[in-house]
Amino acid sequence: MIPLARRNLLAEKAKFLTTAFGTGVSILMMLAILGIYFGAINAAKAIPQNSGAKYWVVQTGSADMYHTFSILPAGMQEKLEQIDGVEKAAPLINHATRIKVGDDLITSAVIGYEINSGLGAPWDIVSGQNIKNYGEIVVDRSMAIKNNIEINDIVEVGNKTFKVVGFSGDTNTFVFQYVFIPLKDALEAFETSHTVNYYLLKTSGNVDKDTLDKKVASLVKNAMVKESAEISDANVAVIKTSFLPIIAFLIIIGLFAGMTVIGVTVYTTTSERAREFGVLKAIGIKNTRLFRIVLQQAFVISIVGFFAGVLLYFLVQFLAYKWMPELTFALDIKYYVYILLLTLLMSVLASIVSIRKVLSIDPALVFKA
Amino acid sequence: MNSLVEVKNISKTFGSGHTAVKAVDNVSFSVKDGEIALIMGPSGSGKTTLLTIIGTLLSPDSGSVFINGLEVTALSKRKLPDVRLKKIGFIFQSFNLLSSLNVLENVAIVLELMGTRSRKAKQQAQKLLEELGLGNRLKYNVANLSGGEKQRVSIARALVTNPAVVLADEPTANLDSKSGHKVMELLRNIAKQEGKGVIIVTHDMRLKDIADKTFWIEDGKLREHSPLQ
Repeated sequence: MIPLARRNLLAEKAKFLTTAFGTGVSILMMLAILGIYFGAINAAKAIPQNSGAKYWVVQTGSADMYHTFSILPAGMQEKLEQIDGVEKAAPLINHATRIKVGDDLITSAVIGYEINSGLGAPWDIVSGQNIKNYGEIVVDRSMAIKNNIEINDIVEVGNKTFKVVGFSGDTNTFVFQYVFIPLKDALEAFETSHTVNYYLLKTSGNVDKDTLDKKVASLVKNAMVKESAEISDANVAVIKTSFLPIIAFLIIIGLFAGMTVIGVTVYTTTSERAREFGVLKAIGIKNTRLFRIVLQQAFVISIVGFFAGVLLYFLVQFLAYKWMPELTFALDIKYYVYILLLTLLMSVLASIVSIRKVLSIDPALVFKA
Repeated sequence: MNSLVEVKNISKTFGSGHTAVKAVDNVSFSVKDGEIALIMGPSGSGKTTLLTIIGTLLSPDSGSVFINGLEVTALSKRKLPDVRLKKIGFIFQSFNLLSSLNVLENVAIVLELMGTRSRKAKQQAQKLLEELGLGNRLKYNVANLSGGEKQRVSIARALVTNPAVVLADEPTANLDSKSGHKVMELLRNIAKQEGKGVIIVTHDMRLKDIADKTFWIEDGKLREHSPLQ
């Protein structure tokens, strides 16, 4: 079959490439927004999922690590370890503060964890090493890049100084970044020796959550037990309720922008070739075949635009990794498929006006000189 | 000889009331296989309207048109594209080639619309183009052809489906003398060797040399010229 649709588009290569690029930018916009969104979702899950604990003891009413606060009495880990099935209990501090790097103050979330237990420790050291001694700190990789922090640099948290021993990956929430210090240092730095935020419980065998919850409640006043997955889900819910409407709005804008680019191009390509479509109608082409040509034109633009958008997305990720490290992207393959399907749907919708145009072309115009 | 085109009492009026213009007024004539009919007349006389009606691109207000025995004016609009594709070949004054396709594809596409497989369509189109002296232009972009070559591609496109009738609108108008004569020769061959009915609408008096019948149309009324006129 002679690919008339493709030939019509490629007859003006510069115009076609401009259109494909325009569509690609719309696709990039959608992919980047989704990528950042899922990057933030992943980051929200990261701390609870990688804490090494199955259960968290939190203050009653506390749900997530962002919007709800949890304050528990310090020094309860030995009592918690006496509960049947609890192998290890370790306190955790999660404290949003500003740390001093040279003359700069950088907002970050400080995780103070028990270095001997390992619960709550950074799980992905991308450079340097994990904390082995008091007075050491592990800093999020993107925060380090953005603020020129090097291994062995000295930073200040609260009233204490720390030596940077490593950089962690997967600890950037887009809005802020995590740093990790030993629990003892955190208690001193924040002068909160009587309270911690959470206890992380590592269990062995099958421990019933309700039973555990009752036993914990009997030991620690105003405390309850949550599974790590619950904390993770609650964190995600915060991201969803705050980001999702914005994301949806921007994606709709991206869709409209893409649809407009495709629609205008298909329409102008159709209009410019109205006489040729008239010739085809005069010769005896059926309307269904004409629709197919118009749709194919839109599909070609969409598909080329989609792949241009994906390439641009990878390029943006690469550039962001270097120059905007706090931006993290995460996009499952299925979302590429969804965006491709959306793009094809866009091209169908954008073709409607052009199809109406083709229908209205009078084939008798071919007799006009 | 069989009547390939029969036009019976065709009338067509554009507009209404005081602004009504009778473009075709009770026109009847027929064209048999192997015949060339020439329709001449001043601008605005109704000759293109008549050709458009015969080509099933415009419905008459009254009267009938038969193409190869089929009353096309009685058919639904949905069936007309198929009639045009299979029974009628069009040759236009301004060639109307598809600018994004090359010479071979411009001809082969018509066969593909009829359902012929792409490879076979291209083989058939190539054979016809070679017969018309365009064998060395197959891959050319149509924009790079001379006027005479473009019209020969247009003729190949009209003939490739082996239609019963060929309708030509001012086929020599945009051509130089030499190319015009070449096209005239081709039109004569279409009728005499291929046995098709050819209807030509033109101002070009040279075409009278190849016509079997010449009609004069003025104010929508058609009358036949005798060969001596």
